[in-house]
Amino acid sequence: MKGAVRIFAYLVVGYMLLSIISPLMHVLQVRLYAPDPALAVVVFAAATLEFLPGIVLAWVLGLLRDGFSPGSPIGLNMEIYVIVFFLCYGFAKKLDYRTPITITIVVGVSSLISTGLMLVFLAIFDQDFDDFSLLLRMAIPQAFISAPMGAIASGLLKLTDRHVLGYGKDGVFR
Amino acid sequence: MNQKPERYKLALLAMVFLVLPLVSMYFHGRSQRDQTVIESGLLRVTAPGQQLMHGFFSTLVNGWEKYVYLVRVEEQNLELRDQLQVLARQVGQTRDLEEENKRLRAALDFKQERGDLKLVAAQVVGRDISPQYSVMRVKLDRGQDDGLRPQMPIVTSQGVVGRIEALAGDSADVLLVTDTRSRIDVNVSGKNVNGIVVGTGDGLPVFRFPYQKARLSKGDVLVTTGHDKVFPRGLVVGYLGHSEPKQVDQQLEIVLEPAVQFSTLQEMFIITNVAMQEPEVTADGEER
Repeated sequence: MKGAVRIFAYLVVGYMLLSIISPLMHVLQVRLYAPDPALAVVVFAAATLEFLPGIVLAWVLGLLRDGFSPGSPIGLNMEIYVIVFFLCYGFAKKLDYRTPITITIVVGVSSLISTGLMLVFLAIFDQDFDDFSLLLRMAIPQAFISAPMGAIASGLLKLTDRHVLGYGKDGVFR
Repeated sequence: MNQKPERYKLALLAMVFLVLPLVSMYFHGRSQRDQTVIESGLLRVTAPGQQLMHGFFSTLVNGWEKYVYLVRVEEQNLELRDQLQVLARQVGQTRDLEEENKRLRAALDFKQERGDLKLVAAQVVGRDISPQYSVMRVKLDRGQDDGLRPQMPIVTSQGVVGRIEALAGDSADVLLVTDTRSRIDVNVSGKNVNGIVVGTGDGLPVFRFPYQKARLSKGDVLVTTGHDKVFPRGLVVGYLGHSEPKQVDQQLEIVLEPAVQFSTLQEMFIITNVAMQEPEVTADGEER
C-alpha cells in the first residue's frame, strides 16, 4: 500500500513539474529548449524504487509527458522512459547516483540517450516528422538544460519521501 | 527455484510495457487520422495543470510588470515635477519680462508724448513699507552724480509719483504723493475746479478745493497745473474716488485714487528741466 502511495506521490511531483515547465518557458520566452523534469523523476525512481513499481511509474510518466507534448505520437515518451528506466535501474545496481552532482550527470546522459531514441522512434513511427537535423542540433543543449532538473527533482522527491511518506533521509527503502 | 518464474513474469511484464508504447506509436504516428480517446483523455488530464500554472505565472509576471511600471511612473513623476518647476520658473520669468516690456513701452510712449520734458530714467532700489503695507518712501538709483537736485518731480507713464526729497551721490529719496508733507497744485480736468492734492500718509491722498458749484464725478482726472513750480503742467496725479465731497474747515475734500500704484513701482522718470524754486511755505507752515 505504501509503495502505491509512493508511486502516486512521485507521479504528482512529475505532473507538477511538467505543468510548471511549459508556462515557465513561455514566460521566460525560451521557445526551443525545455528541460525534461519527468525524465529526472524516472532516473531518480530507477535508483530508488523496485523494478515493477519503477517501470509502472516510468510508463505513466511517459504517458503524461506525451500528453504535455502535443504533436508527438502517444507512446513515444512512454517507450523512451521505460528504456531509460531499464538502463538507469541497471546502472544504479553498480553506483548509487542519488547525490545531486551524480544524478545531474546521469540525467544529462539520459537526456542525450532519450534524444537519440526519439530520433529513431520518430523516424520509424511518425510519418509527418522530417526535422531530424533540428533534433540532432538540440540534443546537447537539451541535455545541459535537463541535467539540473536531476538535482531539483531528486531534492523534491527526497522531501516527498521524508515528509509525505515518512521514509528515511535518503529515501533508500526499496 | 521459485525465483525463476518470478523473473519470467517480470520479463514478460517488461516486454508488455515496452511493446504497448510501440503499438501506440504505430497508431498515433500515422498522418491523417482522427483524435483518439487516449489523446482527448490526456488533454483533459494535462490541461488543468498547465492552465493553473499559466495563470500563476501570468499573475506573477503581470504583478512584476505592474510593479516595474509603477517604479518607472514614480521616477517619471519626479522627473516631470522637476521639469514642471523649471517650466514654472521660466513662465514666471517670461511674465516678468512681459510686464517689464509693457512698462518700458509705456515709458517710451510717455517720453515721446512729452517731448517738452527732459527726463532721466531711474530704477527703484529701496522701498519703505508702513505697518499697513502702504509704501511710504522709495529710493532711486540716481543722485547728485546724475545732475539731480531736490524738489525735481518724479513721474511714470501713469502719472505723478512725487518729488526728490533728499540726495546722495548715486541715490535719491522720493517724497511720495501720499506723504503728509506733499502738496501738489491740480485742477479737475475739463471742469475748471482748482485745488491741491494733499498726502494723508495712509496710502490715499485727498483733493482739497474751495467751495464750487461745479458738479464733480467719480473718476474725474486731476492734473497738475504747474502753479506750484515743482510739477510741470498736465501730469495726471489721480482720479476722484467718489463724487460727494465732505467739508473740512472751510474747504471741501474728496479722497483720491493715485494714478500710480506705489507698491509695484519699478522704473520712473525724473523731470530735470523744470524751473526750480524753493518750496513755498504757506501760512499754516505747509510746503508748497
